[in-house]
Amino acid sequence: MCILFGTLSCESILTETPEDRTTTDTFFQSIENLDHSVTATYRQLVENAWNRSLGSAKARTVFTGADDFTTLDGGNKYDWKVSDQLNISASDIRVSDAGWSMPYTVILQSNFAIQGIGQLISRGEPEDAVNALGAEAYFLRAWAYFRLVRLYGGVPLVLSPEYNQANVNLSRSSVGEVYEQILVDLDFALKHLPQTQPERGRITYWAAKAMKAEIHLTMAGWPLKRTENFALALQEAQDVIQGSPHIFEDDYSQIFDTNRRDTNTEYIWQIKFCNVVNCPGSALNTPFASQATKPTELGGFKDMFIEIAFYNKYPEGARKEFNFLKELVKEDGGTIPWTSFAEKHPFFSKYYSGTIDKYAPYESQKGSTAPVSDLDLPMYRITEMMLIYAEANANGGGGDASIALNYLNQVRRRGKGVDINQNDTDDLVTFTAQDVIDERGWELIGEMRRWFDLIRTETLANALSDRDPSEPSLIGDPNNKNLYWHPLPQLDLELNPKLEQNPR
Amino acid sequence: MKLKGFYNFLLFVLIIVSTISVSAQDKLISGTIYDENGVPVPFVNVIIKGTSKGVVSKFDGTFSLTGLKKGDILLFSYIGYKTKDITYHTQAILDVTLETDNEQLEEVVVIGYGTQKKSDLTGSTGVVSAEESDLQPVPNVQGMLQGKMAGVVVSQNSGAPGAEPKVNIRGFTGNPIYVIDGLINADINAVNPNDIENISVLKDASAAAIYGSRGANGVIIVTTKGGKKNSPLKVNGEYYHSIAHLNNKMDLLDPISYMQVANRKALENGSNELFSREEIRRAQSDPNFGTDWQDEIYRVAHSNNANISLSKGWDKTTMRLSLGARDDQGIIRNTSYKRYTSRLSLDHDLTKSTKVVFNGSYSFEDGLNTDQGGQSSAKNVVAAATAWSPNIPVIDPNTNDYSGFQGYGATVLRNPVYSAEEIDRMTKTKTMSTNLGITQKIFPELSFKVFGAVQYRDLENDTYERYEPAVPNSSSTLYQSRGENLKYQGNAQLDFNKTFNENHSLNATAVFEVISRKFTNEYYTTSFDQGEGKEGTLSEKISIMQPEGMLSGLARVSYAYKEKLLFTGSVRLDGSSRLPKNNQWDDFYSAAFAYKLTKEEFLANSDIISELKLRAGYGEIGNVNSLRAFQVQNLTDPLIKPYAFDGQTLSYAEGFENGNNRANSDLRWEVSRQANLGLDLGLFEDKVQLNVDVYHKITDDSHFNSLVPSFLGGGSVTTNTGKMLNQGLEVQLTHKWTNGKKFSIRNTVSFNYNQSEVLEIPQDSIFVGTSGSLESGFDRQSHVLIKGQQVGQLYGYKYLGVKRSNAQVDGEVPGLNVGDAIYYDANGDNQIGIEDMQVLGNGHPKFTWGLNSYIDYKNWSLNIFIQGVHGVDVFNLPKHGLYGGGSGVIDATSTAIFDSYSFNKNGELPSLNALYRKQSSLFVEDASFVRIKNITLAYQVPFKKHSLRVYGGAQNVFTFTNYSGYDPEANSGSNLAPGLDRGSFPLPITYTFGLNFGI
Repeated sequence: MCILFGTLSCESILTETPEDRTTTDTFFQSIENLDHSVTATYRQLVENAWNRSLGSAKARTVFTGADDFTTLDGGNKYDWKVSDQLNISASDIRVSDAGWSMPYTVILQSNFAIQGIGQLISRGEPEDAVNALGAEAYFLRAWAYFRLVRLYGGVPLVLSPEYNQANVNLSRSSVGEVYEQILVDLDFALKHLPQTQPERGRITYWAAKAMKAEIHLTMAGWPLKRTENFALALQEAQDVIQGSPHIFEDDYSQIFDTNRRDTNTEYIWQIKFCNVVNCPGSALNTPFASQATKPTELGGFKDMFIEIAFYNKYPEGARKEFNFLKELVKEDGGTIPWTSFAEKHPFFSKYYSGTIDKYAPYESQKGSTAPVSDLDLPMYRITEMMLIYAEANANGGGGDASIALNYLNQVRRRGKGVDINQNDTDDLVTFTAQDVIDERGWELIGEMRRWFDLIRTETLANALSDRDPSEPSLIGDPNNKNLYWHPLPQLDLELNPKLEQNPR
Repeated sequence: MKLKGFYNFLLFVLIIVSTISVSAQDKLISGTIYDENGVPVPFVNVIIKGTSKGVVSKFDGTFSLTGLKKGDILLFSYIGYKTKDITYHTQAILDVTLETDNEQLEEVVVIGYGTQKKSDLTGSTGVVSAEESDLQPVPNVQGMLQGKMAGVVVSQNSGAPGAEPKVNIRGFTGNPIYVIDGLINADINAVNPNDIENISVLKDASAAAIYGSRGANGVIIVTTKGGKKNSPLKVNGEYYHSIAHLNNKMDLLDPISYMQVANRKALENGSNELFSREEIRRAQSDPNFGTDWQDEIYRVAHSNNANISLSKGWDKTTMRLSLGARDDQGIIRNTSYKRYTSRLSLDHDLTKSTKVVFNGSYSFEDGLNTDQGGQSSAKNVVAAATAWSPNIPVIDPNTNDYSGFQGYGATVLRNPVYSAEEIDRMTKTKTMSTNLGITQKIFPELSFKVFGAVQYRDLENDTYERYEPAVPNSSSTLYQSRGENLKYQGNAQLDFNKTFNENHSLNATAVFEVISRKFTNEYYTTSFDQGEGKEGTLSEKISIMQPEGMLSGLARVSYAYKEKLLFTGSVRLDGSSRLPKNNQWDDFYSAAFAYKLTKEEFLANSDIISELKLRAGYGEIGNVNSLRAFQVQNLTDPLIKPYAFDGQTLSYAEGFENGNNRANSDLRWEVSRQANLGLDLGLFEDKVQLNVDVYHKITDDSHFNSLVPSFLGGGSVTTNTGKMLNQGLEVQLTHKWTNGKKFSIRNTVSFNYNQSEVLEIPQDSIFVGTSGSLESGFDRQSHVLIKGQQVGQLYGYKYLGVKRSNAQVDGEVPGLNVGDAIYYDANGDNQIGIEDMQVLGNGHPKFTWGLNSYIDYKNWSLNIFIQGVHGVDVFNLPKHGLYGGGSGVIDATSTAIFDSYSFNKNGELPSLNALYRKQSSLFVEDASFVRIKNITLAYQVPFKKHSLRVYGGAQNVFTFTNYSGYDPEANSGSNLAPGLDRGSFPLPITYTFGLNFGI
């Protein structure tokens, strides 16, 4: 047939040549392309503002089983509720969307960016610059697998972006193998990441250090229980505290003030959001900060609010005052206590900055879908490094016990609202690892740490023992450690019969 | 230039040939053959009856013949003219005038790359001509097909202005393609139905195989009107006006009842009452309290339509020029559709043997919110108007702007009046199409044709969304998209046509074809801060380009023996750019036989049977229509949204394309093989006509979107997956009766039955949905394909009823409270999960029928069209909102909620706070219906010279259905996932008044 038409026209008519699009094998022409694909990787962290994004309340459906947040006992809050009741099933796709699919899209895009590193170096692009950018992709892949391995245990290790039968039929790697890969990726990142970045949203060497500290701390606990890693965690935390430009702030509320998002000294890595005026059409917002965590009275979706037992045991002070909405102020000067809210629970106000003034009359802020928040969210803070130091020290990870105690007390003093450098009546004289775990619970609330802390220390049952009877009743048994890992999504099990489900 | 040289050469050969024949003369007769207008006719066969001896008239119509004996009968025959016989009685000069054979001309059917006499058809081909169309004008070409022929199901799934009806041919496998004046895959919406001369529908594979890879879902060939030779200037005009309104308003709660139901729900949930006694008392005393959202949204809509055409014919040239204008309002406020069309058709005989045909058209379509109701989004006005709380005013007196979300009521859906008025989706489409064909007769039997066509479409889509009410930081956005679609087609065609020995007639066609298409699109968004005169911020422009190319060669042979045994065979070779290099080419065949028993002696003189024809055909057709560009190579995705590293400027992101366009480098052609058996029966001089066809179609290597596991990024990839069967029966019965000239009746009944079956798929079941994502509130895809079952199965939880007592029913999970909804625990694990879902119904109808009745009495005509659709199930998604969706913040708006356990212990619905799973049989309904689609009465004013007809009619007059939504037909979905009512634009009742005239 081609002979009849002449081979030339045949070839040109029957070939589809993209003009505005690029095939993946010709994409990496210059370092700029790598920058674009690394940006695409970051984007996956905040993609789908309401369902998957780290700025969404849905992303926290995988953590609601902890003792800090609960939800309405109603069907529209189903996804938080099944988690809160330790009853997530393989078919709860909106839970797995946040817990499983989101990190895997980060992995897909980072796998592609990582392919570009070698291609660009062999094209003669400056090796240092290429590696420094590529290191961000390696970091993000490590971050994604770290999240997955804690939520699901061993997962399929996908290391290339293509759809092919080999990838479709991957089996689950062991937990140890996943951590091995995470550390390999992180080592590349640490080798090539710069200590400072021109933009606050980018990962630095110190962010990689901070994550490494958390990884070692986690590996030291359940399920690997490699206690020798406490020392490694302590070392990394100490490096960050001593070497990085990040400084512990003296006023808790200031850290989360939207006006100080670019000047606070606490954040080692933060997720950047952006308002619709500066960033039109990009949906870079933070529903978790206000719309999802407001009570009915403020027109909120009340997807998540604070468990009553947790609120009651939370230490009094400036931090508690700041973190929670305990009452609403009325125009006539009166107040409505949380016990009279429609949901009869205190609410989470840590991230209200920029959208809600909880001390202003609520009537003026009622009756609207709240202003869309674009508050940045913390991923690593210097405070956590101090707490990791303290916890590792308490677990025999070495270091100086007095420094560790001082770190812990500084966090406690700030929480109480007193001078961080002056001895206080509530200071601890000695401390245990459990004191640090508790302190992490108070300090890092809403920063996606509590669930992981409870399972790695195997204290979930203990934390839920004083659960208030008005919360949705537990269906799963918190003593059943099978529930520490969530079920893999049913759809993926159907598409890849080699995947084994986590036992319940 | 080459063509002209070739032509000169042929002329030379012909002259030599005729000279030779003249020089061999013996007893000579010569003369000229004219038509009725005195124009000489070339290529007329002149033979001596009973012999094979004869000649053909020359370009100037002259002929001469020798070797005649006195008493010989000369036969003069040529297609389109009545055959004439003249006895030779030694006259030397004989001039002959041939009469046009109208009957013979009418019977010619367009079959693709040519025509065929209707009686010679071997395949299953349906025809609609302009004369047969309804008394009532239809707004689009698809409407002309409705109820006209068996096997063609036209469904109107949206009442939006300008909405395109869906056409399915023989089962629900996909959209057919349109061929307009030779241009393949032309855009049909740009065509004014008033310009259409006739439509042929190639239903079976033996007919459609000539279009090879394009014909898998049937082919609709549209031929536009032209002028007639030697006719005076004719002016035809038409005007009509339509008035439309909502058919059935839903029965919703009044504001006070709504507040009381909401309070009841809050109390049962353990919360505080939403509305205080005081609030309710105040509402009760205010007669203007609350909002009837349906009244706010729907209106009485007016539409106007005018068409005018001029046509004239000369000796060698004919022309027709037409202009049309249409201005439709939708019954939802702020929806409209305007269309302006123009078309010019020119035919010119360059020489006696060279004919040039030109068609040019331009149309402009201007739509405003024509997709209203179809989308599953927060801005669906139809769904919002039923789900919004009736106690909320349209305008919030505090902000003097549209009311926003109040913390209760519809959570996701926006204020319906805001969505209707402040969101403008403007679609402006310009379509320019020209084609030129030149036909050159080389020999009387052989002609050569070249054809070229260009279609250019300019697509402009703008969506302006005002900032959201009651959302202080929100901004207005303007989304703009500019697209261009440029398509070229070139054909070279040879046609051979000859009858041997009177008994054997042979018709052969060979075509080479090239099609090249390029679609480009660019889009961007501008955001505006609230307030006057704010400058917009422009997003990055994104552009997309999709090319497509196809090369084809095809040949067809038709052979008839004594006009009673007929055979048609075709072969087509297609190469498509959509497929990977090693799989680009494939060939497709067809063969069909027909036997006209009425040509046999034993039936030739039957008083009863006037026509009896048996047909059998088999064909193989390919398909790449469902493939997009670049599906065989991984691309990067420039549409990945940006990230803001500094929190205020966007950084461009481009990465690996996942989504629904993952690459598959092993793609092959989808091939369907279809067998057809048919019977055409005419009784009592064709007063009763019956056409019956049965078909059996297997689609192999179906192009299918397979899911990509989410650990590989999710989305889907097109694969060659599975094998599907469609088989069915179509029957058409026409009855004509006339009582002299005063009274006549014509009834046509058509009946379609189709059965589909999934023969092979990689897993036992594959889940499919209409789009990549799930329906909002669904736990998995809405539909499933199960081996051995039909296509289009709705999937979800089975609702067993209300928990009324402590006794457990079979399949109930433990731990339910009275008033809860019971869903079937299929796997018995005491938990309800997606593994418990099952088939809840099927979204494709089991059978459909239509009755079209014409009654003429003197100058009066009455036309009634009734349609029936049976055995179809639909997911009624807005109903979930009407019931308050169970627990959560949404409150019921439907009066049906008084049938819930909270109000009535024997009620059919669970209590207000029970879990109303959206993807459950609770929301699946039987959407069968019988509808009086059209009634029209027309009066022909008895003028002598000119014509004038006035008419009035109504559409969608009565619908008999149990479906509780607005309309059983108004739903969307794909062929694999049909039957989803997301709040579709309801079909209105329409009253039309109009007139036609001809001068």
